[in-house]
Amino acid sequence: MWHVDSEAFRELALAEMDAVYRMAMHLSRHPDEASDLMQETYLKAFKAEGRFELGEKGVRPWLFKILHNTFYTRYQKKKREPTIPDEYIHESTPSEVDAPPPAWDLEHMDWEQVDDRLKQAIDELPDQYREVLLLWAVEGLKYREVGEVLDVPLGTVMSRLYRARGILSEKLAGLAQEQGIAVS
Amino acid sequence: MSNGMTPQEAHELFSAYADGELNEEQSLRALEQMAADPTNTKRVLHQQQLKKACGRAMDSQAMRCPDALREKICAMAEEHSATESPASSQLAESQAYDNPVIGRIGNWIAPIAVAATLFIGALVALNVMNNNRGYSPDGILTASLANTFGERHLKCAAGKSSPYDTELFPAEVALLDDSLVQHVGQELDGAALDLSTLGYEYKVAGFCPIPGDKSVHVMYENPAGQMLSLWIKTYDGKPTLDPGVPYIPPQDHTEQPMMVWREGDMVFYLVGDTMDDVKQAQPAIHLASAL
Repeated sequence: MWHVDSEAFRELALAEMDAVYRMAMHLSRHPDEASDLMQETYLKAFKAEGRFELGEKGVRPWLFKILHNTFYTRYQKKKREPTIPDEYIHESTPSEVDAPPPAWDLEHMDWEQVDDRLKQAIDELPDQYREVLLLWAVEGLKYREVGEVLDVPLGTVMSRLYRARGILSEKLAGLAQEQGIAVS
Repeated sequence: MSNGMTPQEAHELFSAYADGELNEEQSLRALEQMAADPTNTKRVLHQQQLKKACGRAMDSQAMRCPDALREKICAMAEEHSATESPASSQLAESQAYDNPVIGRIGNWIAPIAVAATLFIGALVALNVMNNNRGYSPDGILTASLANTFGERHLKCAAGKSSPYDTELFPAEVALLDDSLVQHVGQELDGAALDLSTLGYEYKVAGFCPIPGDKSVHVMYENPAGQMLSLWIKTYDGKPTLDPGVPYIPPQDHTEQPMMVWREGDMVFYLVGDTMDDVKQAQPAIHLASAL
């Protein structure tokens, strides 16, 4: 970890606008909300830049952490609803992991269909799982970094990923079978 | 199921292996389990495919930050940067008010300081133009970012830090092109990464947080122990660079010799221990793409 000066920080932060916007869109699911979230995130980041230290993945995890906190502060203010505990969601998730995993032949998949179906499946995931999955699969963060962004222990990250992957695997296996692709 | 593990434990072990999250001991354990039962190898393959598919499905181009929002945030950054200066000048004003004598002298100091700064600035600009003869004197690489590159080069060269995830990159320079296509997502457009003809051997490559998303830091070393650092990143329009025209940041931006240029859709940042080496290496990397 090393400290960077204000100007360098701003340049590094501005270079992450696409990633932050993408995550803001995934969280809020609405362009206007994403735009507000992003502006608030950057405003907070510029104000707090003195506390930032550059690490392995650059400024991105730090911005995601601010974005995550900002989103949930706004979300909870709006909805005044508690988040669903993991234990509750566990009960409703499939237990397909006991069965041997399918080995998809990705080259023979109809990508348009896979992308659409998978996107829909990810969108339907409970928020806790969806955010972990996106930080891990799309933004390429390590488990530890995902944990830091969301402020949850490593075991929780792994557990949420386990559930999220289980749900998605089941949905994709269905698509593979529809397309007549061997699921061994 | 795998020996002595619950389904969830087995799943997490092989998923973590697929994600490169295990240490050496845990990896060996996973490999043993994979050797013992081919189903476990399928689990690993499955997790890698799923991750790739998720990334592909959700990393849509339509999710790029809209230009209007981008401009708004850039304006916020500038505004924030500008608000730092008036605060300090307000402080100076209040100090002058508290101490009238110094305050009156201060009234004269400001215009003199401005004139001196302009004069020194003109001298520095003239010096920079002379030093950069033959290269583009324009560019928007700021002093702080240029300096960050220099510091990073020195730290990695001294072994105090290193590029990240180096295990994802090949040990041979000949295989580096394909690896970069995989990790950066762009063809190198013919740029050559083998600098052995200049006496610089490829040492290591890995990800780096600067200058931003998916940047790769490649390091070279010559027999005299001098190092060259090359950062490669997809070109996103910043800094504004004409293709193939190298830019040397002014000497007051960074003490480390540095050159920046663009080849097609990639931007290269080269930092070395001597400017001669940097000037020699840049055409070697660039010329191959011109052939």
